[in-house]
Amino acid sequence: MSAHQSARSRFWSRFLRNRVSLVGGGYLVVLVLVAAGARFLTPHDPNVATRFQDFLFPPFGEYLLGTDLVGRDIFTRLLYGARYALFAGAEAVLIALVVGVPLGLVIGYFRGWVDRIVMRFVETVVAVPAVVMAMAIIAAVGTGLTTAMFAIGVVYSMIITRLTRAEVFAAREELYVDGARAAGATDRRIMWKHILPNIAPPLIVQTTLLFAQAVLAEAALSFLGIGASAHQASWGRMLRDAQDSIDQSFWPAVPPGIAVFLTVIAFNVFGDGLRDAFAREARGGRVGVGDVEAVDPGSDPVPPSDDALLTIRNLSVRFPRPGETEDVSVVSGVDLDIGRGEVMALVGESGSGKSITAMSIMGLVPDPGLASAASIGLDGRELVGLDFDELRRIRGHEIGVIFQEPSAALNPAYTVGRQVAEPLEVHLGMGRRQARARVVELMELVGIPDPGRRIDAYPHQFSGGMAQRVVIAMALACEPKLLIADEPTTALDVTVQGQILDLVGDLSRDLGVSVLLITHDLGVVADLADRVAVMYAGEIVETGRLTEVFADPQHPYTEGLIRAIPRNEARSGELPTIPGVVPPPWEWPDHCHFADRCAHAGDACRVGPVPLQTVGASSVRCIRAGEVVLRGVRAHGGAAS
Amino acid sequence: MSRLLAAIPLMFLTGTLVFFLIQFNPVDPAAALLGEDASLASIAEKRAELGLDRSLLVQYGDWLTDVVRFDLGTDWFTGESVLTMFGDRAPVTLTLVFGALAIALVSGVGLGILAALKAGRLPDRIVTVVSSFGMAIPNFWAAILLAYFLSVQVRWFPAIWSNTRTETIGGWLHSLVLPCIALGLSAAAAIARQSRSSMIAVLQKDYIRTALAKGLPVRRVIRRHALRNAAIPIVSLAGFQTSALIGGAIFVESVFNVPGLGSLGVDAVLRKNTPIILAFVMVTTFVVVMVNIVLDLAYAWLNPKVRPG
Amino acid sequence: MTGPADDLVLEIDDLSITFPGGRGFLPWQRLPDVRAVQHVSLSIARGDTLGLVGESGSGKTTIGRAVLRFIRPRSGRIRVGDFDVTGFEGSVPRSFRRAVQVVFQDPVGSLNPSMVVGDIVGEPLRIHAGLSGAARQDRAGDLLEQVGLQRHHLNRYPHEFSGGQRQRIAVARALATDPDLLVLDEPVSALDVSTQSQVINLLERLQRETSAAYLFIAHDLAVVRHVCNRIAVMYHSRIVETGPSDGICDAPAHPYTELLLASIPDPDPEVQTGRSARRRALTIGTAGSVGNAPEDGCPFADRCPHVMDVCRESFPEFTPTLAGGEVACHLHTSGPMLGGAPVGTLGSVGA
Ligand SMILES: Nc1ncnc2c1ncn2[C@@H]1O[C@H](COP(=O)(O)OP(=O)(O)OP(=O)(O)O)[C@@H](O)[C@H]1O
Ligand code: SF4
Ligand code: SF4
Ligand SMILES: [Mg+2]
Repeated sequence: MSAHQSARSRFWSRFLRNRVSLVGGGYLVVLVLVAAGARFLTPHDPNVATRFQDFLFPPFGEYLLGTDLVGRDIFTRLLYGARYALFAGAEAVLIALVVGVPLGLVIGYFRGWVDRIVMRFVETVVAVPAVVMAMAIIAAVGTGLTTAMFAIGVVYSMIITRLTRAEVFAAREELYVDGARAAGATDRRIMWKHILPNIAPPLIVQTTLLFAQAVLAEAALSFLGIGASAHQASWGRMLRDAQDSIDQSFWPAVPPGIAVFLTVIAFNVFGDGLRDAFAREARGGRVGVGDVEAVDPGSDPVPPSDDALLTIRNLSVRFPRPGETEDVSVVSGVDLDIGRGEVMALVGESGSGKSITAMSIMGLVPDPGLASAASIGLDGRELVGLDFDELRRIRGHEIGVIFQEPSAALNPAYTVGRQVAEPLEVHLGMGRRQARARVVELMELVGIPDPGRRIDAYPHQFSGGMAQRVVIAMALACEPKLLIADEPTTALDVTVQGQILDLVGDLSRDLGVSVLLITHDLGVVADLADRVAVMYAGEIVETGRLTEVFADPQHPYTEGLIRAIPRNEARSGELPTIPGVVPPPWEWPDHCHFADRCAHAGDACRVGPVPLQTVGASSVRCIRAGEVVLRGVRAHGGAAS
Repeated sequence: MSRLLAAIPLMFLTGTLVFFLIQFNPVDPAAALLGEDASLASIAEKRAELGLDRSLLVQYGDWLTDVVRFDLGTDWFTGESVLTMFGDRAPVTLTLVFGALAIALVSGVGLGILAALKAGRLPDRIVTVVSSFGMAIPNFWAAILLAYFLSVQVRWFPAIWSNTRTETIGGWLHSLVLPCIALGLSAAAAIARQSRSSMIAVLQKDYIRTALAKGLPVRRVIRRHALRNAAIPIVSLAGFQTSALIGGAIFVESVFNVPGLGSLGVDAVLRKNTPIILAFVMVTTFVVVMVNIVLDLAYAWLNPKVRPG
Repeated sequence: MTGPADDLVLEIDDLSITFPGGRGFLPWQRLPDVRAVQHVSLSIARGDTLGLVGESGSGKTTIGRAVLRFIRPRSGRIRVGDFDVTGFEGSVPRSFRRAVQVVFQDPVGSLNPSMVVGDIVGEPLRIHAGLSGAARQDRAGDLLEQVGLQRHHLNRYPHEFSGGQRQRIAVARALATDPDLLVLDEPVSALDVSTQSQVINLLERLQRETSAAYLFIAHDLAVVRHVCNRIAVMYHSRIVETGPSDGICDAPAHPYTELLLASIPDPDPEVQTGRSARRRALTIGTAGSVGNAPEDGCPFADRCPHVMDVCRESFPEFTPTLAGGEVACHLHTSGPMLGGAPVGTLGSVGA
C-alpha cells in the first residue's frame, strides 16, 4: 500500500508546511504532558494554601505566578487546570461524537420519518441558545464539572448530528455511492466504507473546533459556579476566585485567562491547519485581473494585415505553479488576426489555452496569471500598456463577451433587465428609464418572447437557452466591434444550440460585428466561422480559411480532430482516435508539443521549437507540413460510405 | 411565512422538552425552600401549595394553558410574577445583546471584506490573526480585562452597574458600552472570518467575471455584484451568533453586575426555581426565533431564488 | 441461467415514473408530481446495444436508474434476464447486482476519492466472487489491463488519472462481475473528442468479448449512431421513435428526430450549409421543453412545425415506420395517405 502512504504523507507534508498549525499542535502536546505530569512539575498542592499563608502574593517572587486570595500557588493551580480543561473538553467532545456521528450517518443515509422526527428534536434543542440549554440540563442533573460537561456534550452532539447528516446528504448524492450500490455493496458497507471516510475531514475539523469551544464552555460555567467545584483547580474556577478578589489585586485573573486563551487558539489553528491540509487545493481570492505586460515582438514579427480589426502578436500567459519556483507557460507565442465582420473560430481540446487567450485580449487573465504580448491592436488602437481603467472602458463597450454557462454568468440576485442595462449606464451614460427602453429592444433583438414582462424576471426563471440570449443581449448592448463567444453553446441542448448559433450568425452579419468563437466542436466551427485557428497545448498550430483548413488540413493534429469527431454517417470499423491525452502544461516539451501523439513524428520533430510558417492567408506549425498527406472532412477515412 | 408558522410548534416543543427534562432533578424545591429543619408535613403542605403533588401531566397541562395565556407563573421563592420580573430585566439584556450584535456585524463584515479584497496581503494577515484572537478570548475574561483597564485604570466607563448612575438613558447606555464590546468580540471575529471566506468564494464566481467583462469599475463590481451575494451566508451566521450572544450575555452580566436575565437564570438553575428556568428558556428561544424570522426575510430579499412565486 | 426464448436481456413494459413535487408557499401546499417518464417500453437482446437519446431532462437517466433499481417506478414492469426488477420487495438480491452494472457520465464523481483503484475495482470481486487478498488484486490487475490500463495503477487514487483513464477504471469496475447488462449513462459526454473515440472503441471491443447487452444513454445522436444497433428517441418523458440506427438517422419519421438530426453540426462546411438551412426551416418558437410534461397529447406539440389539433388531445399510437422501427406521431397515424405512405413521411437529412 505504498500509494496509500504517499497520499497520507502528502497530507502530512501539506500540514507540516503550515507553521502556525505546527506551533498550535506543539502547544497541545505540551499541554497534555503538563496535565499528565503536573505533580512532578510543582512542589505545591493546588488546593492547599502555601505554608506561610501568603495571600495574593505578587508574581515572580517566591511563587512563580504568585498566590490567590486564599494563598494557593497560582502556578500549581494553572498546571492542574490543564487537566480539568482537557478532561472537560474530552468528555463533551466524546459524548458529541459517540451520539452524533452514528445518529447523523443513519438518519442522513436512510432519511424518511426517523430522520424527520430526529431532526425535529435536534432543531428544537438547537433553537435554544447552547448555554441556556446546557443550564437547563444542569438544572435537571445537578451542578458539577462532570454534569456540566455532560450537558455541553449533549448540546454539541446535536451540532455533530446535524453536520454529519448534512455531509451524508451531500455524499449520498455522489455518483460513487451509486456505483458502490450497483456493485452490490450493502447499506452498511456503503455507510462505513464509502461515505464515512469521505465525510471524515469536515468532522475531524469540527471536532477540534468543538474541543476549543468545550474548553471555553468549561471555563465559563465554572466561572458562574455551576461547573467545577471550589476544590477543583479549573481555569474557570480560578477566574471566579480572581473576580472575587479583583478589588485587591488584578493579577490572579491574568494567568488562567491566558491559559484558556492560548489553549483555544491552539485548538483553532490546529483545526484550521487540518482543514487546509485536507483541502486538495487552497485557492486565493481577490478580484482577479492582471495587466498585459509588453514584450519584444520577437525575431520575425508578422506584419498586421490592413483590414484586421484585432491583431495579436506574441501573446503568452504564465501561471505560478504552487510549490514550484518556475512558472508554467499555458499559452505561448500566439499570433492572431481577426478581420472586420469576420467570424474567427479558435478550436482545440480542453486545456489548450483557448479561454485564457481570449481573456487576455481584455486584460482579464485570472488572478495569479501573468500575460505578456508584443501587441494587441483593436481597431488601430494598442491595448498593451493600457491601465485597468482604460481597458475597462473597452470591455463591454468595444468588446462584448458570451460565456459557456449562461446561468452561472448571470448574477442570481438581480433581474436580468438590470444586468443588461448596466453596460448602457456605465459606458453610454444612459439613465434608468432610457436604458430600460433599450433593454426591451435588445431582448426583442435576441428573440426573447414577451420582453416587456421578462425584463423583470430573475436569471433562475430562465431556461439555459433563454439565459444565453440574455447574455448575448448584454454583450451586444453597446454595439461592440468584437464579440468573444467562449463555448457559447456547450452547456446547451443540441436543438437549442442550433438556435443560438443562428442568432449569433445573424447578429454578426446584421450588425457587422467580428466574432472570436471559441469551441471544441468542429461542427459548430463549420456552421459559423469564416476562418479558423487550431490550438494545441498553448500554441496555435494551424490557421486559415475554414473551407481550406477543413478540406485540406496541414497539421496532423487538425487532421486528428477532424477524423475523431463523430458525424451522422454510417460507419464500419474502429472509430479513428488520436492516441494518448493532452499532457498537463508543465509536461509540454520544447520541441513540437504534439510529437508524442503524432503518427508522423520523426527525429527532426524533437530537436527544437517548431515555428509557425505562414503561406498566404494560412499558417501551420509543423516541420513536415506539405510533406505528409493528410485527410480532410471529405475524405471519409474511418467511415465506409 | 411558513417560518413564522413553524416557529409556534418549535416554541411549544422546546418548552415541553425542558419541562420534562427539569423533572429529573432529585432535589425537592419545597424542602429546599423551607430549609433543612422543616417538618415533613410542612414540606408536603408547601408541595401542595406549589402544585407539585399533582401528577406530572396535570402540572404540564396547567403550565401549558398558562403559557398560552402569557402567564409565566410566579417565583417559587418570592412569589413575584415571573412576567413582571422578566419585563423588568429584559430591556437591559436585549440592549446588551443587540448592541453587541450591531458592533459585531459592523466591525466583522467590514474587516472580513477588507481582508478578502486584500487576500494574502498584510491587511488580510492582520485581520486573520486578530479574528483568531477574538474567537479564543472568553467573553467574561475580556469583560474582566476591559473593566480593569478602561474603568479601574482610566475610568472612562463604569466597571460596576449602579442604579443611581443608570437612571438617565445616557448613563444607562454609557454603562452598557463595555459589556457590549466584551460580548460582541467573539461574534465580530466569527463574522469577520465568514465574511472573508464568503467574499472570496463569491469573487470566484462566473458572474463576477461577466461583470468585469462588461467593463464595470471594480468598486461597482464589488458593491453591486459581490457584496449582496456574499451577504447570504453572513445572514445565516448572524442568526447563530444571536443565539450565542444571548448565552454569552449571562457571563458578561455577571462580571459587570448587570441586573439582566442572565443572573436571574443562573440563580434559578442553582436553586431549581422551575418557573424561572422554564420562562428563561422560553423567552431566550423566543428572541432567537424572532431574530431568525427577521433574518429569513433578509435572506429572501438577498436571494430571489427562495422567494415564493 | 438460460434466458427466455427471445433472448432479451432487458425488457421494459409501460414504465411510468413520477417524482413528488416540491413544497409550495404555505407549509401544507404541495406542487403537482413531476412526470419524468411516461408509458415507456423498450427491450435489448443479448450482445446488442440500444441507444437512448434525448435532451437534458427528457428522462433518459431516470430510466437507467430504474433499471438499476435505484428508484421505484410508479407503474410498469422491468425485467432483466430472469429478474423481475419491479417485483423486488425490500433489498435487492446480490445476484441481480452481479447481472447489471453501470458507468456514469462524470468521471470525477463516480469513483470514490478516498479509495485506491485496486479497492474500487476489487469491491465487486469481493462482494460477488468472494475474492480477497492477492487473488483479488490479481484479478483486478487483469481487469485494468483489459481496459488498457496497467497493473501498477492498482495502488493509485482516482485523482491521479485523466478523465478518459477514469472512465476506463469505471468500465473495469463494471466488468468485474461479468454483467449481462451494462447501463452506460453518457459515458463519453464529458470527454474530449480524441478520448471519446478511445473509450467507445474500448466499449465495443469489450462487448465483442463478453457479449453483454448495453443500454447506451446519450444526448449526441451522431455518437449514438456509431455505437448502437438500435436507437430510441425520447422527448420530454416519452419515447417518440425507435428503430435501427442507420434507418432512424437516414430516414427519421418523427419531427423531433428530424430536428435533432438537423441540429448536429457537421464539420464539412458544405454539408453544414444545407443542414443549417434545414434546421432553420424546422425550428419554430424559441423555447426548449419547459415545465411538466403533458399527461395527454404530444409533448413536442409546442415546437412542432406540423402540429395539429389532435396532437394536443391525445398521445399518438405507435405506428411502424419505413425504416423498420416505430414512431408516435399523429402525422403517421391519421390523415390521408399518398403513394402508400402517410403525407407526413419526412425527407431524409443524412450527410
Ligand atoms: N487560475 C489558473 N491557475 C493555474 N492554471 C490555470 C488557471 N486558469 C487556467 N489555467 C491553465 O491554463 C491552461 C489553459 O486553460 P484554458 O481555460 O484557456 O483552456 P481551454 O482551451 O479554454 O479549455 P476548455 O476547453 O476546458 O475550456 C490549462 O492548462 C489550465 O489548467
Ligand atoms: S512537427 Fe512533427 S511531430 Fe509535430 S506535428 Fe509535425 S510531424 Fe507531427
Ligand atoms: S404528434 Fe403532432 S405535434 Fe407531435 S410530433 Fe407529431 S405532428 Fe408534431
Ligand atoms: Mg475554455
